Parts: sequence; structure tokens; C-alpha cells
Amino acid sequence: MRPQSENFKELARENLAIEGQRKILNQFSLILKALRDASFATLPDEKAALEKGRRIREDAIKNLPYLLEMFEENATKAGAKVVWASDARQANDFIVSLAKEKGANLCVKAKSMISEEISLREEFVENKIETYETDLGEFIVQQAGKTPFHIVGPAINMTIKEVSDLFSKVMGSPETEDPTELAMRARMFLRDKFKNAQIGISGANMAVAETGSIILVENEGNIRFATSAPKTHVVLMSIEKIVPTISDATYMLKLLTRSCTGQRISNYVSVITGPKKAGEIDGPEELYIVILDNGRTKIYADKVLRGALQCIKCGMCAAVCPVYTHVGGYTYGWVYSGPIGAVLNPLLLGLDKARDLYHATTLCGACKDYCPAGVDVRNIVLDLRAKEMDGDRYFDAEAPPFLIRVFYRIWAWVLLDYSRYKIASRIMRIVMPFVIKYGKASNLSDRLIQWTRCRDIPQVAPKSFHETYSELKK
Amino acid sequence: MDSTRNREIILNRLKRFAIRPEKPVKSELVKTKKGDTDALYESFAQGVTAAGGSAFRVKDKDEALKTLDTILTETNMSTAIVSEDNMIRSMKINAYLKGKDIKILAPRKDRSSHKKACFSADAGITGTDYALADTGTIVIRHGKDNARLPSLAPPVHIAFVEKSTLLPDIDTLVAELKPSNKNMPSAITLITGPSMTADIALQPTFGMHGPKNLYVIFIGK
Repeated sequence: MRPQSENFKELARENLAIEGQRKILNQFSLILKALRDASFATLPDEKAALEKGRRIREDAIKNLPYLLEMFEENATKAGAKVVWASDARQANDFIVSLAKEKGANLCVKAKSMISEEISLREEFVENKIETYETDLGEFIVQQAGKTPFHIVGPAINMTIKEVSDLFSKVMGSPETEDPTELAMRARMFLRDKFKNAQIGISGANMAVAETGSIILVENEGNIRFATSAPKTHVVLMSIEKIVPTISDATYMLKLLTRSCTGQRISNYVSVITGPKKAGEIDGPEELYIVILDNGRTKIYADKVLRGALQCIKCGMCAAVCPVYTHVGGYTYGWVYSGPIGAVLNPLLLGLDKARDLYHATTLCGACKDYCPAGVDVRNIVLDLRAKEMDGDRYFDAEAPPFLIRVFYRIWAWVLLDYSRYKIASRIMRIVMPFVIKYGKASNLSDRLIQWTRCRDIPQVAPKSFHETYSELKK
Repeated sequence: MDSTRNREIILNRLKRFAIRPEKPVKSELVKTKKGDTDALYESFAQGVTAAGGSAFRVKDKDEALKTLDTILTETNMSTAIVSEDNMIRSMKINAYLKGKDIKILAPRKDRSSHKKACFSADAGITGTDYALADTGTIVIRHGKDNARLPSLAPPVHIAFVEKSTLLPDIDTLVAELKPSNKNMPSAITLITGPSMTADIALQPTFGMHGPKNLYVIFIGK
């Protein structure tokens, strides 16, 4: 998927103008949040549960390399082949050449954000391997030639009519307004693919160090098909997917499905440990697990940014985000959307390529309150902004022009001390009337500071609160 | 691509900023609380129904076979794939169904005919290893006699649960599994209701890729 995060502002304007989209986003978020709250209410103590989730993920990240080693050892013992890839190119090349080696011409894919990140499907198609996304939402997105709108509901922004038109085009089926009928058409279309595919590709919701198992969570059954019908199963996972034990995994599972869709458990959970054993008649003969870095070791080295790796991709933060619920998923311009996308996209693409994403936040912190993995997006956003101001060569942030830097330094210096602040506000009281034209500061300063483009600086009051207060006290 | 070299680079980079696990990496095993079976079953049945499946409780194996017969007749099933697990064997389902109007597609010994049978059967009949009362979940440990596709590919899945395997929740399941590399089967599937999607306009639809109907027959009063 080609990153477009540079064009955030433009995309935001376009998306805000799409008729009905904001209404869908609002409804979707309200429904999801209500379902989520109801399902969390079935836990004995919601706060304690979120706290435990945070601790499990934080510890897993803290111990990451040691857990990865343990995972590799156990997965290998179970018969899986573990392969390490540094970047997208290596992972794609390996999986494509593996598919060719197996003589595969048909591939079924389960939904996986990491495969979107490295454009694996496009690579397969380029190499003449017929490849299908099999999650209904992803299937629709693929056939429409679009990209996922939401981490969990890739096509939730499309209306029934749009899906019907698309299916008529793809399968030549008559139009219908019945979503069940549309789902059944996709079922029929994909059934043969499941039956005949030689290779199945999935991501991993969690990888368990204790046993070497991969855990996959779904409702549709497409992941079960993709991981049990073809002879070869390839798991593509990024390094941070590790959890220490099965009991940690089942605990996170409770939080994951509740936060994803408000379910106490998803309809299907698969725990896969190695390929099929001798005598088993189905299941993959070979299981490859590709562990991919793609920029994450770099994030890991920074103790604030590393928090982003705790994310379990449930998508709840998007539903409670006042920015996401207006601009929608496409505006983030790449794989990850919502609050977590606002930090992951810049971290993975480079700050200069996704600068607006972490500026377009209200810092309200709702994402942190709802996060089952304890990701503090607000803190990371502030850190990214600070990095940008100083310039950061690791994350491709070019420092702003000298004058701007000096301006912010002075600004910070003034605000950090009350007496300096007092003097500054008195000066402003005198200066402001000269700056304001037609009652608005923005009329003049728009060219100087973009800050006033969508807000204004009001005239400073003739007396400060403290001055008025002490006068009244007398 | 040099996987070994990548591995070294990735792990070394991480280790500069990581710490070793302080305690042993072992699952927390919750002791199975003995619950009141009736209450547990109530919760289990509720979970199955809430997820879109149907649950039946019968006295014994004979009654279970009768219930199976009723389901097959009422839903007009003409072919079925029957799993070879212990529970199914002990119930002699094949023998029972032989006299009926239903064709049993015997699981063959080779992969492709097995696959073909599973994709063409009207119903898949399987045993289960555990059931979780809390969520209405059935659990299958896949293995030599316990293939993966019979509970997935046919449009109807009929599963038998034995009373003794009913556990309160997923935490107690972890304790039962005693997780370790050696103890894990190649695959475990947790099933709660039939296959489902809400990807088109958030409208819930059953039977997306897997079974449209799930019938759970619970044996033991």
C-alpha cells in the first residue's frame, strides 16, 4: 500500500466532504462503544482488567528478545520453520519465492495488517499468483481496489448498494439490497478458492513464547480455512506480537475481542502449534513463521516510543477518537488509522512523511482510557512533536527553520515561569491592539503563523484574573 | 535473504534495551472450581444461543442419537461427514445412521478425498474435548482422529459435549491444557456459535464461510 500520509490535510478535506461518511462513522463508533462497554461490564473489575492488560503487554515488550528466542525454540520443536526478515522487501521476496517453489498458483489470505504494511498481496499478484483476501471486508476492499478504512471493519464505510454494484461487476450477479445475500455470494465465490489453494497466508494476533503457538481470532471462519485447507501455511508476524504464556494470551483475548467488536469471545479462536502431525489428514504439511522487523527495533530503542509496540490492533482507540470519527480511516494515508495510526505511521514511514498525523490530535487522551494494552498515545504524540522541534535523524525529522526554533524556545521559556508570564501578558496587552485588525488577530498573522488558520487569538483582557481578584479582596 | 544474520541483528538490537524475564515464563494455572452442573449448563446454553447456535440437553447417548436424528431429518440433510474422535466412536454414530436416509461420507485416508468430502457434505458431526460455560464455547483438540475441516466446511455443524468436560471458563481451560510445548496439539479450535460476519453495513449475517447452523447436543443430566 503506497503511503499517502504526507497529504493528510488534503485527504481530510476530501473526506470531510464525502456525503454521509461522518454519519456512518458516528453511528459505527457509538454502536461499537456501546457493545464494548456492555461486554466489559461482564468482567469483575473493568479498571483492574485494563491494568492487567497493560502490564502483560508492557512486560512482554520489556522482555521481547528473550521471549522471541523462547518462541522460536518452541515453534521449531513443534515442527514450524521460523524465518527472520529485516524489512518488507526481504519478507516479500521470501514468501513469494516460497510460493513459487511450492508451485502455487492460488493463494488464500486471511486479514493481516502487517501484510498490508508490506503490500504482500500486490507482490503475489505481480508474480502471477492468484491471491484472494478472504475476510469479507477485506475481500470487498480488494475487489474495489481500495484500502482498509478501519483496522477491524475494512469496508464499514461502504453502503449496501455500493457493495451490490461491486459484486455485480466482479461476479456478474444481479443487484440486491440484502446484506445476507451479498455475504452468501462472497461465500460461494471464495469456497472454491479455499478448496484449491496451495498456500494460505495469515498474520498472528498473538505468538506465545511458552508453547511456540500462534493465536488467531476471527468470526467468519476464513482464517480456519486458510490455515487448515492448503498444504502450506505462512504466518507473517511482526516482532512485537509476542506474549509470554498461554494464560497471558487468553487474558489478552478477553480484552481483545471485547475491544474489537464487543464480543466476550470471537466465534472462532485458533491456537496453532506447528504444522499437522503425522497421521493427521488435514492442516498444513508445512508451517512457516516469518518474523518481521520492518523498523520496529528502531522504535524499541526509544523508551517512550516503544509503548506503541504494546498495541494489539483492536481498533477501539479509533472509535473513541474525536479526530478519527470525523476524518475517517483513509485520511491517515496508510495502513494504520485512528490514534494508533497517528503515531505508528510516522514512526514507520518517518516523521517528515506523516507529520500532520500527530499534530491533528486534541490530546484528549480518550484513546489511552480505552486501550486494553496500555498504549499512551498522547504521551507518544507529545514526544514526536518534541522530536520534530529538535530534529531527529533516526525518525527522519528535519528540524524546523532556525527562527521558528528560537520562537518556540522563547515561548517555552516564558511560559515556564510565572513572573515571566506576567510580564509577557502585560506586554501583549499593549501590543495586541496594534496586531488586531477588524477585531481579529488572524487577519494579520495568518501569513506568519499557520496556527491562526482555524483559530483566533483574542485580545488580552485589560486586567488579569489575579489583578481583579486582589482588587476585589481589598 | 540471510535469516540467521537477520536474527542476530534483530535480537542484538533489542537486547541492548531489554531485560530478561524476572519470573519463569509459565502459565498461571487456575484450579478448576467444582460448579453446579445445572447452573453451568444454563450459562453454556445461553452462550451458544446468544452466538446464534442451538443447544440441546439430553439424558444419555441413546437420547443424543435420537436428537441427532431429529436434527438431520428436520433440516433435510442427505450427506454427512462424521469425525473419528473417541466420543463419536463410542456412540457408534455410523452404525446408527446406516439404516437412515443419510449418506455418510467416510473420512478417507488421503487428503484430497477428505477435503472433497468435507466441502460437499451437508453436515459435519463431531465430538468435542471441552465446553466453556461462561461463553458457550466448545473446544476441539485436533489430531489424528480429530480433523479440522468437518467442523468447518459443511453448512451445518453438529457437536456432542459430554457433561464431564464442561468447564466454567477459559481460565480453567488453560489449567486443563497444562500448556507446554509438548502438551499442545497441532491445533486447538474454540468455537462459539456458527460462522458470522458484520462486514457489510454492520448487519450480522450467519454462515459467512463456515457453518450457518451450529447444534450442540449436551449429554448428561
